[in-house]
Amino acid sequence: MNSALTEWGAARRALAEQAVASVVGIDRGRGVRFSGIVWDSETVVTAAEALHGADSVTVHTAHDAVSAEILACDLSVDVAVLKVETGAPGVSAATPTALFSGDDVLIAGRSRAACAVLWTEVEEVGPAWRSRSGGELDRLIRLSPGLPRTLEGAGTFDLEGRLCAMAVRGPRHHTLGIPRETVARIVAAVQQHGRVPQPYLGVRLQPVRLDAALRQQLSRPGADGVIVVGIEPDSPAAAAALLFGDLILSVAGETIETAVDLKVALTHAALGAAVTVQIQRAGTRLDTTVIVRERPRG
Amino acid sequence: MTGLDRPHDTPVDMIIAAAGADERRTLVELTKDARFGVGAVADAPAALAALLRADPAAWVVTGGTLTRARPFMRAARTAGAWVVAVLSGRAEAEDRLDLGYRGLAVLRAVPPTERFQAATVAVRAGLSAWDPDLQFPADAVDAIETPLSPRERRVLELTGAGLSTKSVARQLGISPNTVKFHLQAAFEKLDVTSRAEAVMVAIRRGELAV
Repeated sequence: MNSALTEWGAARRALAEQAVASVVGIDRGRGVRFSGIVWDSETVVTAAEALHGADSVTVHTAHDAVSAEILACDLSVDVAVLKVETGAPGVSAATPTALFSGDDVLIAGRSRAACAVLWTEVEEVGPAWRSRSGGELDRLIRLSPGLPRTLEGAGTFDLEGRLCAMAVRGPRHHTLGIPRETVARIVAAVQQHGRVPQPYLGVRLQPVRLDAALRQQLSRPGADGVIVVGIEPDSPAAAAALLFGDLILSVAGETIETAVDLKVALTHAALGAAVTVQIQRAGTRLDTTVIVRERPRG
Repeated sequence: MTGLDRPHDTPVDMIIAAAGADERRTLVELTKDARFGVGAVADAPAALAALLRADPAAWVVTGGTLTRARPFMRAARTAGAWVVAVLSGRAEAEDRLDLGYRGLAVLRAVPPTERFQAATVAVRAGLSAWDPDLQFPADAVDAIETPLSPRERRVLELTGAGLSTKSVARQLGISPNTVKFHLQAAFEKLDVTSRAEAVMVAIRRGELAV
């Protein structure tokens, strides 16, 4: 008998047992099952995309199944916040070790009550990045590809059993880790506002290509720009009298080259804040002040 | 110098070129409220020059090989007019770029009114406007793009705000199944598979507000 191997196995087992205590199985009905993480005594988090617009789901712990209400979904970072008292211990508040490419991590979730565990590797770690949908993620964490559907929304734990990220399925079979800090930020926003507030200007945009002369005139290195092709009635943009055809140059000092840039710049502004929107209108540069409001939800 | 800086006595500041009669009919429809002149022009640059001396601010022209012809562009440049082309696909666009066209819009079965108007506004302001179809990946470009219906737009907007299917249904006074139906139709039109992607593609296409 090889004692080093059995010890190694036992240590792995202990870690898995600890991790699965803080994860749940989520059942959306019609046999669709994935996982979630017990954040605190009344909050579970999971992957927003996996919910598919459900407004309640069944949450399974080892011994129990309870109905949970979905408080908020942030599609841009793929985080959903559920209100449910599971009685299960929340994830450890201890800060995880800094991940490094090649690190072993444990992905833990449940298929209904049954434990589902996958040992895998961190493929890539990088600085903060922006998802294609304009979500800001505090770090890039890419895990080995091919996450099983049941582990979507599962916890990703380091070798000390501390939560590092939530595992989600990205495009082309990639597995992404939504960093713990990002999840914490969304949970805090939801606990404060009851939802993830979406700052909004009320403009519809079209991409334009700026030619060299105009780039020079505007002192912009990039060739991409956006012009206003529509203004929503009663929106902040309408109040600020933005016009069809305005080229949006910057918002609160942030250069705007694409619609996603604008979305991100707005999320940096507080709701109700007056921000300066610099535009080019009929050959003239203008500064306008816009009061950022929340996107209407009805 | 931008289009707007040019003296007011310049009779024509923009030419909207379409390859054939069908496109021209659509353009006439799109531009009927504006001061646009309309004419089918022969290949001869002389005919174009005559047209450019006429009164309306912009002209919609069609005719044979005209839109491909270098003499056409030379005549337009001499007159100080920008050219906006309405195309039926990506392949044509490459030629137009070489010739110095300033605005390109792809014509679809349902006219992309807002984009077309935006292109004309941008070109008048001295900018170039490319249809998003012409700058996104080739596989997405060849697909015929259909605008979202107002209902699909609304469903997607509320979905993007994080509302559940049932909440969207309540807001709009329709059934959850109808919401799913609209969402599925929007996914197909936008060629996406996830909600986050659908919202982003719709924003990029100018269908949803930021």
